[in-house]
Amino acid sequence: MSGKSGLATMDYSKEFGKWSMWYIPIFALVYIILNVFIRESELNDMSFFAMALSANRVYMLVLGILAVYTFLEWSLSLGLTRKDFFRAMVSAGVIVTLLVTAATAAISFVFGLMPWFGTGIPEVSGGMETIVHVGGYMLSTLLYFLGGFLISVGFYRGFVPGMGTVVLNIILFMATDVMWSREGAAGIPAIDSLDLMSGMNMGAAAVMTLAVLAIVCAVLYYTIRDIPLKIK
Amino acid sequence: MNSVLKLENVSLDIKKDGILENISVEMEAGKVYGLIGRNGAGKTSILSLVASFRKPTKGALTIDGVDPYENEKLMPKVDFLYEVDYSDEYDTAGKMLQTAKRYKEGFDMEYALEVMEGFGAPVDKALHKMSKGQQAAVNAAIGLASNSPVTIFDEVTNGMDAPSREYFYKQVLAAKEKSQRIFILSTHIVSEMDYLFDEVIIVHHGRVKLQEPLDVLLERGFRVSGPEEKVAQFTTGKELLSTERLGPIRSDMVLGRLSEAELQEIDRLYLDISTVKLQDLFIRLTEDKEGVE
Repeated sequence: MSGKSGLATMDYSKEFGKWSMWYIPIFALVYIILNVFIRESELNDMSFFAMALSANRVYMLVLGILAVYTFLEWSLSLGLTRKDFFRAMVSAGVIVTLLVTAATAAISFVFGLMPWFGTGIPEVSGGMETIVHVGGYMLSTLLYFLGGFLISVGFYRGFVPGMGTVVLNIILFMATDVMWSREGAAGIPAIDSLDLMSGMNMGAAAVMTLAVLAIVCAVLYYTIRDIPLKIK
Repeated sequence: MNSVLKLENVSLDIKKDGILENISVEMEAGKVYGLIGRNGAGKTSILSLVASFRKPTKGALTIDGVDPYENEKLMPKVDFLYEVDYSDEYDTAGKMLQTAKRYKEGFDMEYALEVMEGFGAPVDKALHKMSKGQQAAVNAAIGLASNSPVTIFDEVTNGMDAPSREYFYKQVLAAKEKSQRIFILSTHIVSEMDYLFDEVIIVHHGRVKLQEPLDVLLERGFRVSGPEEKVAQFTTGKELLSTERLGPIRSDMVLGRLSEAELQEIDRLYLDISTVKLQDLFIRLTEDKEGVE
């Protein structure tokens, strides 16, 4: 990574970090309010981290969608190439995914010390399974960020490419959800009934998710490398 | 770095629209170029190509023989400053200057702060709270202090008051003396900035109508004034750009260079002769009527 890419990675990460300083406390507040006012064992047993794993994906999707509109013009004006922009944004996505996951885990640990909040992750028995479950979620969180980034690039290029990237993302998100879900999170009985996960070990799911991430990165680079910057 | 910026037969299409057609210009370091044209003529599109914001559909754009598009060594050497909407920008001007310093090797922070002071613009105020003129001053300061070999100012004085504009013009001249850079100034305020230009490029309907040194361009026409009948007698058969009358006095702007014989005739008829202003020439040369070329 060139010096400029490194600088940009730092700047994008800092900016995303600032936004996360709003997101995480607000989400923590929502978690507290839900636990105070709603008495349902499933919800009350759930840790902040377990709830945040899903919410983080949506948050990262939003960050990805904002990527091009917030940073492309700024970056090119400072003399960065589109390649620098792409590399720095993907790197920032990885960093912010790790930071947000770590921050939510730390807050969850603190909440867990209090008697009013749950500590568990539903459907996960603990130990190695927890690590794999969290790892899978982190990979899909990164995929959501890259998906959002792709949507951003698509709509920046025009309405039709934008809608194309939305459809592509729906397929990719659904595919990875199915891969990482025991009972099928696709919500579509025909897909859920395939029970893909039972015939696949966690390692294979991780490899496939990494392959999907690589494909999304390749598509992203292909669409960014000649993207015209629109001014005025 | 003695940069030479060349656009050779460059065209730009956006979707199905032809925006620029067959543009060929050459610029060299140490000169200020005035890029002028009417609204929608294609000025900003040309500048977007130079700044690698867009890629030409056809033709070649080079800096010292190398295509700057996606070239990580050349892209930072081009600085493109234009009017930006800072209504959502919460960073201060000082932070903006620091960011420019981090990304641009040649950025002179001390000079940038001096320029900001000269404009009377605060560095500790958030950009969204600044007036249009102060925001424009930040852009101008970044461009001037960047020391980029190719520095482009596109309507950068929009929103500035007259003293600020005057200060900016002085700084452009000072920066030109200080280092060998290509300055491209794109503007509508031709009458104020013409003295800055070493060369003028007039763009009209997506084509370069002309690129000439300012003094040569101004010799393309002349203004002749005097009694109505004598002026009419002299300008009959010549390409008239405009005619103005004040009482018995008539003043004709004529396109063309004066020959020795014509100068003698002007003497004989006791007519006054003067040079045309760039703005007048620009207006006439870009009028969409037949016969004006």
